[in-house]
Amino acid sequence: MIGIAHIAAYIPHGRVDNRARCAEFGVDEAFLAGKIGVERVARRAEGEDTADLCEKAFARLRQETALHPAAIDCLVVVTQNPQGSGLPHTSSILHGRLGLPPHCACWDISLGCSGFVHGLAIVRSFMEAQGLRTGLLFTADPYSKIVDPHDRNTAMIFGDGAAVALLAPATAAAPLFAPVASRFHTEGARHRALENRAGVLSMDGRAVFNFSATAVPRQIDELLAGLGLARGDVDLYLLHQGSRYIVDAIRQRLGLPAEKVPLGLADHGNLVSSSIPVMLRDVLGRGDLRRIVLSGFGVGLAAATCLLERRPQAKE
Amino acid sequence: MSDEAKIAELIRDVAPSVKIDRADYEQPLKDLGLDSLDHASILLQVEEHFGIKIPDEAAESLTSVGAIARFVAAVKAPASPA
Repeated sequence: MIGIAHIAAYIPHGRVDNRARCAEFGVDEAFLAGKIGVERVARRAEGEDTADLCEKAFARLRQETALHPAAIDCLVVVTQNPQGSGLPHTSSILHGRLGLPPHCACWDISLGCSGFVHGLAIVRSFMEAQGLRTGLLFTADPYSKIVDPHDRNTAMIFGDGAAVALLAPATAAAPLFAPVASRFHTEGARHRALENRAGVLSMDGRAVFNFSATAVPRQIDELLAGLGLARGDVDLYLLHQGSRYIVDAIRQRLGLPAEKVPLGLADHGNLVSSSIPVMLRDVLGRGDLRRIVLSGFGVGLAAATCLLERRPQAKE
Repeated sequence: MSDEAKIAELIRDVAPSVKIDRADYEQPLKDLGLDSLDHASILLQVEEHFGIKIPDEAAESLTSVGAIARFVAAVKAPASPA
């Protein structure tokens, strides 16, 4: 079974301090910390584009692993803010820059906040069907390209960043977290709630909140019920970090303790499809974790949830 | 339980620190310490509890327990015969 061998990330050093903008947006620091949950949003450097973010995440991956580019036979980029004009696909540009072999399959996936979970299911299935052994799943959606810096609904929330997950077969010598089951959900009739309107991001906060607060708990419960598991059987829930308020709302609706649903957006903001892999990166090595639920939700309106388990499982 | 009392209970579920008495039913939710995110959450709870939909056009004016209760009553009321 294909699983996640490693995750590396690149979050630009640039920051916009939300605390300095509270008066401009008519919010106080208590609301910022307790509800939005984002103290600073990460901002790419001038001229730093989507493939550049991915390339820097890949450089980290090389530093942290023994990966050799010649071994890579699949490269996928999840983005809705691609490099340059979007043609050619960002994955192709990245393929050239990283010096990958010609047999390496490359494509982009157009998805937002649910992109990592969708992408994991897609790439895992593709690799297993094709007998591939080494895949890269990038996420990079620099919303600073489309956020109106004066829009109260979005400017204090979204940050720039990229992540790359190294996917490989799980072996007895190297057990990995693998997606053992997934659920998908789309409400296309409500797609206008979160969209790029003539180059500017528009978000209907109430519609996105209602979708997330209802669809996500239901999807998590359906996933677990299908596997014969209870909520308490899962060690950790990594939810898309839309805002502190939405993460807290989903957690409360599921009746989960705060320690099982960590927050990870205060220092860089909502990283769109990179928010889940950035959090997952920090717990992959924890030996005490057996089951992790990932749930991404947003643009579409779409949600995707999966259960990760260590594979192969240790003999009991 | 009256609709007003139920709505007050739903509000306390969303924001346990907020105190609402019967005398507060016509007070703006904002004055009770509830913000725009709480408002969205309260309206969702009301939709789910009463099995109704609150359109965006109406949502903006539902700024007190009383206003929400009157909206719920109007939606729940049987339509007049044509």
